[in-house]
Amino acid sequence: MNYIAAGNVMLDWVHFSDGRSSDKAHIGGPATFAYAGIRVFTDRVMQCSNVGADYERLFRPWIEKNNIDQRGIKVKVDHCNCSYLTYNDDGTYSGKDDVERFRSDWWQDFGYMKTSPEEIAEFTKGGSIKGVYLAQNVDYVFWDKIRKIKERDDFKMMWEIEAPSSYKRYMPAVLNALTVADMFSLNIAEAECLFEVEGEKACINEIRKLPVPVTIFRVGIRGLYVVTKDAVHYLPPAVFSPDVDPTGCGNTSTGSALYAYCEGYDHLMVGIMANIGSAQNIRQFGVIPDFSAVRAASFEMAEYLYDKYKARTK
Amino acid sequence: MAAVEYLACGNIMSDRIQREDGSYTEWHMGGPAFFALSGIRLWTPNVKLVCRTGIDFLEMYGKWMDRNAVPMESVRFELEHHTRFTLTYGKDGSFKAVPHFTGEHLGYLKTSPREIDEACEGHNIKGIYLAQNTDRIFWEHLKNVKVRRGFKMMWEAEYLPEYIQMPKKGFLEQVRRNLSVAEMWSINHHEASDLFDIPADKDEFIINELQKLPSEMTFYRVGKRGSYVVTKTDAYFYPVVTPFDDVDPTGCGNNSTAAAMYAYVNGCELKLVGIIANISAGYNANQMGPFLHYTREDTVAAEALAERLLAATQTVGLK
Repeated sequence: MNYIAAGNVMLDWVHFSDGRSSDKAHIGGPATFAYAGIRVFTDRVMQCSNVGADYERLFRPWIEKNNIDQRGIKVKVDHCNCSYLTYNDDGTYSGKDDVERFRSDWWQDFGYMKTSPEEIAEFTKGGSIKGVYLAQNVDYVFWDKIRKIKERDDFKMMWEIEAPSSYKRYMPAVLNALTVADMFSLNIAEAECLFEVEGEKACINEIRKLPVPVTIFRVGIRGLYVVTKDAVHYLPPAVFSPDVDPTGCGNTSTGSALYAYCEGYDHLMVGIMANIGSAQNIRQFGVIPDFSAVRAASFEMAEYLYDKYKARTK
Repeated sequence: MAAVEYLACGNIMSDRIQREDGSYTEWHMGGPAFFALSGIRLWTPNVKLVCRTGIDFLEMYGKWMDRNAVPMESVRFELEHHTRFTLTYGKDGSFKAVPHFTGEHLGYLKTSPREIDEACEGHNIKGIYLAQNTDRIFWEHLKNVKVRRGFKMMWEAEYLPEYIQMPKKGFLEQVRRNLSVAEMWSINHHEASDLFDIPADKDEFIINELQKLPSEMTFYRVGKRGSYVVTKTDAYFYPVVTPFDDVDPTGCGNNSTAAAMYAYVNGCELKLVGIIANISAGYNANQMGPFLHYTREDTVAAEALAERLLAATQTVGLK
């Protein structure tokens, strides 16, 4: 096993401003989507997540279809976390608050089911892991634990910041986490909040000052930037139509970027593979259903786009 | 180090109280597991705390833990901050708790069955206290731990009437299921009133409902009036015990519930279970936060008080 996608699993209900909606709960959550982003390109990835007992019923067809390694999945409570997302015309989204939940203190389960550093360490032990994806907040103690595991097991870490941590008042803690992470991922709303600036250019200026080798800066339907200290690559979205549901595109692209980086591809290709991950994700509600069906086309598209963008820079 | 026989498991929560004029008290140590620890510690040093908490626990609780010789081996530091709440009390004794961190923060610091299992390692644990919700999987895991380790369990139901969304009948079914695991449970009169749709002062009717549940012993708390120890066939009432001035009721429920567990597990007669529980609560109510320092003399004095009350107190049996 070479990669771990760690963190939360969610069941997503999605509503759009044009009246469309998902007809049922779809499997998702940052770790599931990031798993998919990596799995587009390699089978050597496992998910490390805590879930509800209803995971089995909803995830079983996907697990069987794709022969998914379940060693990192622990059933800890009755129900998976659910998110009820409403998308606005501009692509932003918000949660729906007036939803009846299964138990009064359901919100505690988000925390109870968070993947701990120790749960990740169970699987990084042994030294074969090249990269770990995690969407996480900025807690110093948590990151100190990750630092120690990383020092022991020598893997690359992709950190996707959680939106509630993306505020300027948390900047010292963000900088602390970035002394542990090798890659960083955030979207434009998070970046504008974190740096208290407006617009892509201003965000990129701030991102370039961060003490992290590579940042995936996601700008919604416009695609993404791969930002390093020395260079900025803008990459418009890759396209595998149709566009059905953008939920999880950020997590998926971030997972794909981790794979590309750890496999030694250059920064341009890191961005291209990230966009391909999200282009495969947007084609349906929920997670990519069949990885073997999309892998060859994804690599082919990556090579095509790489040649195309490379030719432009010559 | 003395042998550990009892575990106080679960959440640590510091709290401050908002006064009627809007000002605040200082922060005080607390949380269900910590008050439970304190309730047991009055009677025995053979108890430890099992919790996940913030690294700042040491700053606020470290001295208390040292002073009272409570082992730290099962206190796990997982985040920067431990949980904090601001409390406001209503005139009827009910209270509202406003969290300072997110529900996710609180959830991440919840103690898991696996951590309780690890805390039992190397000890012959007789009894544990845990305040917990009704999640089926959590209880299945806990049942496995309990079967392996052989302890008795006191469950303080986490019941939030203002948030409960499931039908009461559904909640009661979950309670029944959990009481096939826990020998003892505890609920207060506000919670029971909401759960059974019976006025909170109608003790007989509520006790009648409690006796239908499959619990060996229910510790039923009726606020400033005291508590009942309820079994299938009997209910013994004990009024509040006030060995000292009554300053702050915060944590008295957790504290007395754990003390009731200690007494029941030790085979005390039921009348004495309630007395021991209410004496612990009396010590707890004497200051903001927990009783500061338990000495051997305090234990001896509490035991003597319990004996006197047992001999003198008129108990009322409700059948």
